[in-house]
Amino acid sequence: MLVRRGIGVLFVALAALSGQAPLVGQSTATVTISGTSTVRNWSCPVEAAVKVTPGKPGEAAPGFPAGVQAVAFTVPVKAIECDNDTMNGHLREALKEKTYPQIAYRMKQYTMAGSGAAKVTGSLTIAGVTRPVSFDVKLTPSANGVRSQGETNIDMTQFGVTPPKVLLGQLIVGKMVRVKFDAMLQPTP
Amino acid sequence: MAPSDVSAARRNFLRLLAASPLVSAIGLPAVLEALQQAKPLAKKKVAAAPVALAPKDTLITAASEAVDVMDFEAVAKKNLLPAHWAYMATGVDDDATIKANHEGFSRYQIRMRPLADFSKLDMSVQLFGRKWDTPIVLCPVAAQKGFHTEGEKGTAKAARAKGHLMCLSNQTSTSVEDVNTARGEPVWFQLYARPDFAGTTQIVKRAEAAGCPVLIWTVDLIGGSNRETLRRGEGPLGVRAPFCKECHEGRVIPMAQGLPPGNVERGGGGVFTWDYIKRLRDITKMKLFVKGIQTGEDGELAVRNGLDGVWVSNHGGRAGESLRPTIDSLPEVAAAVGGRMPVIVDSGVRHGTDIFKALALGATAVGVGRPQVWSLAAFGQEGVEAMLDILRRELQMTMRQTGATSIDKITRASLIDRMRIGG
Repeated sequence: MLVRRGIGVLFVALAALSGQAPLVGQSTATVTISGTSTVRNWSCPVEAAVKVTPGKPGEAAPGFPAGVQAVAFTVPVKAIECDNDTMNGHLREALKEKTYPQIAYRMKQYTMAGSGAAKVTGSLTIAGVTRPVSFDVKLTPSANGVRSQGETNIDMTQFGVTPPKVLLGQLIVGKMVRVKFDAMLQPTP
Repeated sequence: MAPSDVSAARRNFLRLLAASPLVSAIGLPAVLEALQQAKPLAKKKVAAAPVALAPKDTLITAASEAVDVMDFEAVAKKNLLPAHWAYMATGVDDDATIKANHEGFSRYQIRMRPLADFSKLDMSVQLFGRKWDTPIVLCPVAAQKGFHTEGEKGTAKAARAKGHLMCLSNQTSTSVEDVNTARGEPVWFQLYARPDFAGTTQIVKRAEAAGCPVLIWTVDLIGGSNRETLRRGEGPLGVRAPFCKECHEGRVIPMAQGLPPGNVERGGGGVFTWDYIKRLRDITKMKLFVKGIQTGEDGELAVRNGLDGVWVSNHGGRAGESLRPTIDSLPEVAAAVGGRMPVIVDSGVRHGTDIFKALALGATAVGVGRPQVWSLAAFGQEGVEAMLDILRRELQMTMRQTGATSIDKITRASLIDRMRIGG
């Protein structure tokens, strides 16, 4: 389940000396990874760090009149919390956490698709494998910032991740997972 | 059956009726003869189903797609290990009381009175001074982590998001402390009394220390329950099967930490009478409900023994094969209680109209059991939220259709009892 809350919004101005470089908004997103198994469905939330760089060449979006130049999500694998130590262990092992401690998403481009909706394309890196991933994002301006919500389905095997198979091989985790995120982004001042 | 077969069958049935001495006695043969001569009904034109609508047997893929709470059931069944499904789905004997619970609601028709001012429709109810936005209560349901990893925390977060009263099972797979944190306020706690009173005391004290304001003592399983569907679903070894014992062996549920093992659902072989109420009163200040009341006699005893509330329930048809739906038990219990304490009812509730009928027959609030688990197993917290939204929306619509602008306007006069001449 998507936890609907934006947490701790912090803005950092980079390269203030030059006055030319864009401002980079930093915030956190609640990311929920959920999937199936032969026993029951599961979900594991985690907080991701989000960096948003406003500016061209992106087109104007709600809360970002000058457009968005770049978006980057970073998820520390170790922070994925399934509320079950055994599950946490299996997940981290499957995601090769010791070698690849982070999951990362980098937006390449986006197109606005009606009021408050955007189609985003970019690259997702899991366990050292990078593949293109697209998804729809809903942008909702509010007093606290711009709420950004989206979700997509991912085939873990396309990233070289073998879904865990445990308990005498009878508990088999499904290869498809659903990834949802919910972030409160702060528009540039 | 083809239409011509139906007509032939109808004519044969009417001939049989006409030949009946009973029909002759009450003077209906002429009418029946006329009916026999009637032309077969013209074949009814059936409109093609709109192609945009998914057939009913198509599984929904998101909580938001659910049209009614039953849409979660098939998804839950697909998602779960068959033994886990069987644990939740089981009734007793032939599972006939489950069916009776659900079908019992069709005994009552609703009297529609649509003209009223709904600009301030109020669905709220008061329970021990606490105002709830709706009378829809989440029943205590055991072992929710067996249905989704979010377990009771997922349900609690949904209850918090939607503002519903949640009752936590003694057999919870998440500690009462963690559930209260997820709910944002203490839940009501359901108790299975143990044969060792020290063990019962430990559980009650822990729930009270966690801030739970109400204790619900469930009594309907004390006599045992013959759960055939469960036994068939889990196989002859049950949780001792090699795969199952990987999780179940040596596992102690949070509320039984430090206590001796035993089948506490059935009271562990202990002897329990109405005197037990006083024993519970002596160890806690929590308000006290008894859950599993199904007769007026026990309703009167509940009053006489100083309970704070009664819960009309047959455990969703998984206690005894009484074949008696709780919606039929409710009026006699409510009459016996006579408004002196709140009455909650559950078992078989699937629509807002069911909730409406229960309120009309004397319930203060109405519990939802299996739909809670179906929706949790299907989509976690998001599923439970969607399930609650559906029931709330349906109840609200029924209130609008019947001119009930608040819960206290839903009365016995809102219904017609089809089993009773004159309603």
